[in-house]
Amino acid sequence: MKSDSAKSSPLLLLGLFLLAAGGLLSGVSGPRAYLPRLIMLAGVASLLWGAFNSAASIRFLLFRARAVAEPGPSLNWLLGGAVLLVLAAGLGIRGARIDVTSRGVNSLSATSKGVLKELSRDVELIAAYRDNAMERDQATEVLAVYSAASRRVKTRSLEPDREPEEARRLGINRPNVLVVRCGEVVEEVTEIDEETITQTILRVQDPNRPVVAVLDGHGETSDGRSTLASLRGLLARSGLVFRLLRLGDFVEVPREIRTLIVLGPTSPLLPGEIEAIERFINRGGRLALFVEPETTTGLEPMLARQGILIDGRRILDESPLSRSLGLGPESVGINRWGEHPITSGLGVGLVLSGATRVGLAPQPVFGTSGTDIIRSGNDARLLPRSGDTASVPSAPAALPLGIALEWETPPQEAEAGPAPREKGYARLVVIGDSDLARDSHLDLYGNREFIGRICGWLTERTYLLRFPPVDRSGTPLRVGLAGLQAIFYGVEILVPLLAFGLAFRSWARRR
Amino acid sequence: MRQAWVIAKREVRGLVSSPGGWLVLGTFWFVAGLLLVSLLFRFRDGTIALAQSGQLRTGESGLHVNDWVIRPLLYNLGTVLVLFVPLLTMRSFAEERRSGNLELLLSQPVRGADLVLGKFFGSMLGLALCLSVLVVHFAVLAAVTRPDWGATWVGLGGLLLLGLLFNAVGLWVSVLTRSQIEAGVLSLGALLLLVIGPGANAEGPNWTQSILGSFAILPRFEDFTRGLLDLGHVAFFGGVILILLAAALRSVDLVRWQG
Repeated sequence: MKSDSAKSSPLLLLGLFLLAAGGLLSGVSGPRAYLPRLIMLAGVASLLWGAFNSAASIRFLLFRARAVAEPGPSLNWLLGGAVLLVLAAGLGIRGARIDVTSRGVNSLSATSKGVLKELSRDVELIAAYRDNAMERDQATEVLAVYSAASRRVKTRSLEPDREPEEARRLGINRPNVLVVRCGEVVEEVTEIDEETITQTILRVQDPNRPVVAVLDGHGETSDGRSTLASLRGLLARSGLVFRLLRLGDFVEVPREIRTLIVLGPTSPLLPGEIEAIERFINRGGRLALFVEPETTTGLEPMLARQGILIDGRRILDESPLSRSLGLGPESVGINRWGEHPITSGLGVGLVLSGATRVGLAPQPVFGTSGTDIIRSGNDARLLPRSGDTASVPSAPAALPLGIALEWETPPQEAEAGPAPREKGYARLVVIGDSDLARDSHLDLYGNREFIGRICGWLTERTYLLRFPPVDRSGTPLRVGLAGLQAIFYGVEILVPLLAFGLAFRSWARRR
Repeated sequence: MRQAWVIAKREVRGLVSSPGGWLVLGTFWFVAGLLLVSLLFRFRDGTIALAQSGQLRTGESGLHVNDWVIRPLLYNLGTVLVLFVPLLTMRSFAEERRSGNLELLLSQPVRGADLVLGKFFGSMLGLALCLSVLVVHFAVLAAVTRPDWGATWVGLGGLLLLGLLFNAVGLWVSVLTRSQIEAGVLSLGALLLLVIGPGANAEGPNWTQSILGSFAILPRFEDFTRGLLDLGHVAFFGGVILILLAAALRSVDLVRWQG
């Protein structure tokens, strides 16, 4: 047996060396990519041969199958192990994972879970990251969480440089992205966060993506005003198709447009446009109107018929909240809202700039159902109109700044064409400021979420509603450099020294 | 079962009464301490960098000790166990066979199952002694910061399961060999294969990746360190340990009857 050992030890060492060398070279790509695998294979063969030479027992184990199959405790243990492995495979498919972290970092929010439960089609999440990409591990973890949350979600990883043909087939055009795929619809995700991924999943599996048009041609996007790039991004991210619309006179709002946004026109709309918008609403269209103070849109009479009153005077809010924003005297801070799906659970306040009062008539119009959705603080005043020197600012009060209204519309005849089926009721949101939807203000405080919720309510895409904020709370380190040095001496020197001391004691005793 | 405990106690006594055992423990504690201290310094540097960049607002955003210290500590210790477990298990059967004690032991009225379980429990206690240093580490962490204990205990449980699986591999290899060195080297090779084998096929076809991936140990262990208690992983570790112990027991039986 001694000679067996002498023969096998170099083989074992060679096997280990080859395995390690193959592992180190595993990053080699290109035409010589097979080399590391070949080296590792040789290592495994060498190890097996060495083991085969070294222990006669292995020969017994390999060749005496009859003996191995004899009943006894070992067979029971083997069967028990096999049962557990089958159980593990079953649990792996079904997913029996318990997230024990206090921050819930390994699980999805109730919003995402609800969304995934409702999926009607299979969605594939593909992590197309290079091996050395920093986000690769994060993406892999996120994929595991989604895969465990729904059987409709299939996940896979691929290295686009190594499998270019497959990447092209899957519609992946660049490396280091997470790709969400449903049928032929493919979207790339570059920010690996739950909200983005869940909304992308919803988008790719939703065959009807509503078109949201922003009216143009009345100074809405003219030079000098803050642009709408952020709003465009918000709508795209929310699964809505953004379009700029120039109506002109005597033109209907196109049938495929479900929601229209009128964003702070600086000149009145043409009569034909007003009539077209009124017809659009009456057939169950959805309108969001953002108005600026001391500006007339021409839509006021139509709104008044629905019981919506636009004051037009500029608001000066002297509440501590608005002053604390530090954004100038015209800023209006809002942290009070009415009971409505748009504002339900809204956590962060809003910032309006140069707003006017928008409220509902004391006596609601028959058949309509509406509410004030946002209100200023108690110290807001209405300033006199420009040029009106006779009037004085109104007394401080909490002023309504936005309303949401809906009412049933007469049934519409079904029409052929690509238009989505309209619901039989109109929805209208009017806000006394347009800046909060523009690039300059959209990312201030809760403005983005608020605008997203308005679009969600109007288009009936509930997934635009709130995702709970991610818990990014950290843990303070209550120790300075001196304390860390003390820890170093304790765990790095004292504790091992204790073991080495006991080793010395054992050695001395034996001597 | 009583015999198994007697054998286990004998194993542990052998470990703590030998200078080699304490040297192994001391070295492991040293490596663990080195990991903890370096991670703590990294955590401190990260916190300072975050504060300097103005992103740190107390209680709202910051670095979490579980992400920066505990999780990498447990994961790295899992990798370090690949090197240390063979040192703990290489003696168990190989030395007995070399010195002729195994034949003597097998001639006694001791069941093979008790013998294997006893050796396994003994190596388990040895592993527990190795990991006992984490009690000190966690006490230090509790004093200087605020760990998420739920995630920490699950991570520690995962480390124990991983160590037990490594122990079972080492034990089986030890039954098959007659010298400690052979047992140690073979165990190391087997553990390296287990750990890096599935990942080494990263460039292979998808079907081989998925087959080998289902046997991957480190990704399963990593889930535990993240604070994720996956019952499928627990069953996997339990199943593999049982199969390895069954193989060890069958090998002991072969040795008993065929020499």
